[in-house]
Amino acid sequence: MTQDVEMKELPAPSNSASSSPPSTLHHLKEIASLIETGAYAREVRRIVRVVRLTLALRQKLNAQVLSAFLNFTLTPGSELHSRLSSYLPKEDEHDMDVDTATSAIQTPAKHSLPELEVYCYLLVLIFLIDQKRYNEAKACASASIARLKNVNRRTVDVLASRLYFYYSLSYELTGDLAEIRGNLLALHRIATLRHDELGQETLLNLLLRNYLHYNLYDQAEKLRSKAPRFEAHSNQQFCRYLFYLGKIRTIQLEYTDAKESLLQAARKAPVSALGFRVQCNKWAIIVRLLLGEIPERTVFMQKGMEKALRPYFELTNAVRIGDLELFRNVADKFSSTFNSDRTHNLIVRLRHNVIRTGLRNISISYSRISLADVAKKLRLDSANPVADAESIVSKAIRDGAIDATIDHENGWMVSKETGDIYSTNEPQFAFNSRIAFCLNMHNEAVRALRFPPNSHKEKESAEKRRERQQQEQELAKHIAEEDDDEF
Amino acid sequence: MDPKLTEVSQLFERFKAAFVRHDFDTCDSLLSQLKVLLTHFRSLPPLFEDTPNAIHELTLARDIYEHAVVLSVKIEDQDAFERDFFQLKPYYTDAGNRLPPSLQEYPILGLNLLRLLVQNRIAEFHTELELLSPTALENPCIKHAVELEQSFMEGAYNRVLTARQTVPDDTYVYFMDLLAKTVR
Repeated sequence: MTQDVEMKELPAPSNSASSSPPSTLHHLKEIASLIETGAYAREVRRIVRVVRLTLALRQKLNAQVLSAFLNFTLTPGSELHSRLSSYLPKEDEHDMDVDTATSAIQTPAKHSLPELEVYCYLLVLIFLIDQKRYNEAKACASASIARLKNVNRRTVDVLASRLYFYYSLSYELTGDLAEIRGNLLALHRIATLRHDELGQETLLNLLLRNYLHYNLYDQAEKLRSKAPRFEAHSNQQFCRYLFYLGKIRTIQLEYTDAKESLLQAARKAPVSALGFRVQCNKWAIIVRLLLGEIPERTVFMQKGMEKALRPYFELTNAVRIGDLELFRNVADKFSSTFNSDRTHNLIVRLRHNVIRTGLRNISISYSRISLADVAKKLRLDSANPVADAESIVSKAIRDGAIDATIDHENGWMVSKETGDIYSTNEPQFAFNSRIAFCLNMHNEAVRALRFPPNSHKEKESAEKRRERQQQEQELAKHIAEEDDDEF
Repeated sequence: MDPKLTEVSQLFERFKAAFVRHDFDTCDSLLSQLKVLLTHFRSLPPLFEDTPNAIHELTLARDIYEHAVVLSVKIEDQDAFERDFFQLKPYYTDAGNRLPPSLQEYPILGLNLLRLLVQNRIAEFHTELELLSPTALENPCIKHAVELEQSFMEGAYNRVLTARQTVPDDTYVYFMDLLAKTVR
């Protein structure tokens, strides 16, 4: 009931206000009313919509509109109002006055909903970041976080998680991310205590990002493994989580898991998040190379990524051919790119894969080759290439990378003939694993089907009700008949 | 000067003297006394309180732990090495910007890398490696460990064996011997 009343009441002021300044302010006011309804009805869904609508407006925000909006929602002269408007540049005083006058008349009752307060913080913060005034953004963000710590309402959670994000972003842009680590940890704790799952998710990601920014993989992994996990609420946050997870796994040499999470992150990411997907792809390519796979050409030719992935394409090429010289050249040529992507150490690890591939190529093409030639072909540059080649070849044989033997006396590497693979059980195994994969996929799909809650229950109860009514009627009839009999 | 600080410095002088004499038993007992005394300083990690002679205390504590790490190598105790190294690490990472850099930093970081390599903890090896700056990677002590790891992965064991002759610091010999044993 209350909700209906609200709905009727609120559109009125925003409609009349739309006449003077056209789009943006009007939209903002509509959003504000949406927040109010959401807050009163305790509907988180509405607040989520608010955030989405705000992001659409982001381009159009300017100081004038913002201060008008602040005047509209907050009591002019209150502490919060004066603090927030101090962040905005003063211009066009005259224009604004007219505007505030009209809106003040239209909404005499001033709202002091925490949701609206938080929303105002959010707007101003976004505006400041867009204007590249990071120091002010930092101050604003810190003030908002201090306010948030005292508010415990489910409807604020969505807005709060956005605020956390911009809070961290403003500190990252000024380069003192380490400062807020303690604060973020405290916020994460608060969110956990309040069962604010979205907040936990966001904060966990921010913390991981914070740690990874300083290459503190150890701490990141410890935090990640201890923090509670639950079903993802927001796709974006889940993607980020997967990406950070992939990075940590890569550093800790768990390539198979890393590949899985990186590829999943790249696939789940929205199409518009090009930068994120490029990053994911870069890491995924390296991980796949480290695993000894060669990514397909289509990976590098994805729309909008050709240029960014170019260094990695050439790197892949070098690994594929197994040419150490070429590999070294590529690594040198793009070393600045690799350094800024922080993948340099991973690329150093790749060297050994290059040697492997080169060796495999040699073992395929020659049935018998002297170790000196192997060293020459791999272009090993060391004092004693033959001895090097000997130990490298023997390790490769031991690890099962090539199927060969070493004739130590003559200094030869003898490759074994590769038999007909179709005469072995190999195709059967491959086929089996594919079938297992398909069956698994099917099972998971069935499990992931969602049914709207209570839909079948209600139907049942309706039937039951009808039955019950019928029984009651019959009973009543019986009683009536009995009554008749008595008289 | 703070009486406690004087006491610690005097004890540390005695420790150093014993260290030079290669009297490792005395060193060990002095070291445990020193560690207990260090807990009285409030400027050290994890508290990091800003006391008047914080810089002096931090430098002294770092010196003590550096010696402790080297001592543990000398008495060939890997567990003690790990413990002491983790105690030392905050001085490099968290207090690094307040103190003058230590000459011992890179050799000790290199030693730690080598230890991880010897104990075959490659994942941790790479995690540590990520923490190092490009300039640190250029340092001969650390480069040594990194190159060793590469030769290991490639399987160029003979290079590992020859690397023993080119150690940058004589404390490395202990780990190199262990490594050589594993290789054989």
